[in-house]
Order: sequence, then C-alpha cells, then structure tokens
Amino acid sequence: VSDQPVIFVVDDDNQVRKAVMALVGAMGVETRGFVSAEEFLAEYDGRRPA
Amino acid sequence: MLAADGSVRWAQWSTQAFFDERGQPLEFQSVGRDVTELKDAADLLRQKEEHLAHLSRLAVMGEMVAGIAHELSQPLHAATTFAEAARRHLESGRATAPHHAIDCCTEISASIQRTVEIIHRLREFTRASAVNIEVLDLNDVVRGAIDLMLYEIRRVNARLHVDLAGGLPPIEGDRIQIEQVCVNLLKNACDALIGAPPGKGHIQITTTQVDGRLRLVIKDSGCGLGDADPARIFDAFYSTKPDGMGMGLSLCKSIAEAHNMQLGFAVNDGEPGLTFHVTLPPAKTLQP
Repeated sequence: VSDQPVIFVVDDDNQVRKAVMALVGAMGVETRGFVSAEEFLAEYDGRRPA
Repeated sequence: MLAADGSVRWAQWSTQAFFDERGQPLEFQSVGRDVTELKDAADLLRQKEEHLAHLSRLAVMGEMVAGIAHELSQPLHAATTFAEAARRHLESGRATAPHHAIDCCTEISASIQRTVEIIHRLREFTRASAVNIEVLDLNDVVRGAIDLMLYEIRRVNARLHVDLAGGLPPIEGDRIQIEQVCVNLLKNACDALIGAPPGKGHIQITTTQVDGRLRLVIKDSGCGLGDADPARIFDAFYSTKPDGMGMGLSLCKSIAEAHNMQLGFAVNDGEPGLTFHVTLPPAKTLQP
C-alpha cells in the first residue's frame, strides 16, 4: 500500500470523468475514476488519503 | 380531370359489370363522383397533423431545453479539460508527454464529435419537414430517441435498461415521426418516475420480433395510471399532469395509425408502472 495520495474522480459522464482524470494525471497525481458515488464508496477503504 | 376553367378535379369512379344467364357480360355501369373537395379536406387535415406533430416536437424539446444545454456543455467542458491536460503534459517536457498529449487530442476530437452529433439530432428532430417514408432500422431510431432523452432519464434518476434484438427486419416509415413516438413514450415514462424513491426508477426498452412483426416495448416502474381514465389515455388534450397538454400520447396514436402500427399499453402485473408497446410491420419493399 502506497502513501501517495490518490484523487478519486466521480462522474457519470465517461468523457468528463476521463478528462478530469487526464488533467489531474498531467499534474503528476494518481487518479482513480468511478461512475457513481455508490461505486466509489463500495471500493474506498478509507486508508489512503483521498 | 381538367375542368372547363382549367383547374384539376379529382373523381372517384365505381364500375359494375352485369352478366346474362350464361355468364356473358351484358353491360357496364359506371358512376363518377367529384371528390376534389373531399381530397382537399383530407390533404388539409394531413398538413395540419404534420404541423401539429412538428409543434409537439418543438414543445417537448422546449420543456427539456435546460437538460439539452447541459448535454451539449458536458462534451465541450470535457474537450476544454483535455486541452488543458495536453498543454500541461507538453509543458512538462517529460519523454512521455507527446504520447499523453496525442491521447488527449483524440479525446478532444471525440468530445467535439459528440457535440456535433447532439446538435445534428436536435436539428433533425425539431425541423419542420414533409413526411419522408424510407426504409429504417428500428433499433437505430430507438437509439436516436434514447440519445435525445438521456439527460431527462438521468434527471429523474432512472436506471435505463436497453435490450435491442439483433437481426430485426427493416421497417418502413418516417424516421422523425417514429423517433417522435419513442421520445414521447420515453418522456411519458420519465414523467411517471418523478418522485420515485431513489433506486426504484427503472425504464426498460426492448425490441423483439413476434410473429413476423417488430415489437417495441417501453416499460417503466413509475406511478402507473393514477387517476387517469385508461379509455382516454390516447385522447388529445387529455392529461393528468399538472402542466400537461395532453398531446404526447395522442400524437403517438395518430403517428402509429398513419404507419400501420399498433400502439397499446398495459398496467404492470404485480409491480408498479405501465408498459407501452408498439407493434410494427416489417418493410414491404426489400431494399438495402
């Protein structure tokens, strides 16, 4: 488990989500995308800084 | 027929043949009748119906204009963000930067293309055009309607389930009008889902083939008939919605009749909501 912060991007619009992830990625920060808040909450374990 | 004053008159002729005992023709009797006024009235009625269908399309899109604006701005917003990402990659000077920037450019093209397609669909849908009968793929028309309704479906928090059968025979009809039937039925399903508890709103769209005919089914888990009179649901100006004009379903009915389609509905069995079904004949002419 890495200590690097991850930015979680939640958006139901595929293009918008990918765009935000590309922009944040260009800033050198790791990102992970989710289609819905439910999907994010199911996945997120709260251990890594978000 | 050309009348004495140079105008064209329409006549309807009925002809009867009379035979003798041996089955030999004896005489013919023909009765001609001037039906010009009847035909003019029918033409005028058809024009009025086309005009009404057009106005109704404008009204539906007018109601959804905020959603459509959102639908258009989403891909543009994505394109701007991708452009900003590409710029940052290129500025970073990293070896991988051009590769990332190229990916971003591909996405920018795709986003703008999406905007172009939405605008194209809107223009087609709201254009006042004469009826144009062509050979169509039902699934294609249904997908077009779904595209127009996506925001509305999302706005009422409905889950959309789409199950379009492969290998359906082509149908014959006016693309815009059949799309209008799908849009109106979808709009109706969305309206029925306003206020549905979260996670309980479902719209199911299915196309199948039944006994050589095509069948489109739109099922919702909404409020059902409520106080509505099932016998009047397709009547013009009949609506139980507070701001309803009562045009949507009645137009669906007249478009269905003009296309030799059957339109009906049923209350869902054992669960909330209504199911509308449209049965269409396959195209008679075999064209690609």
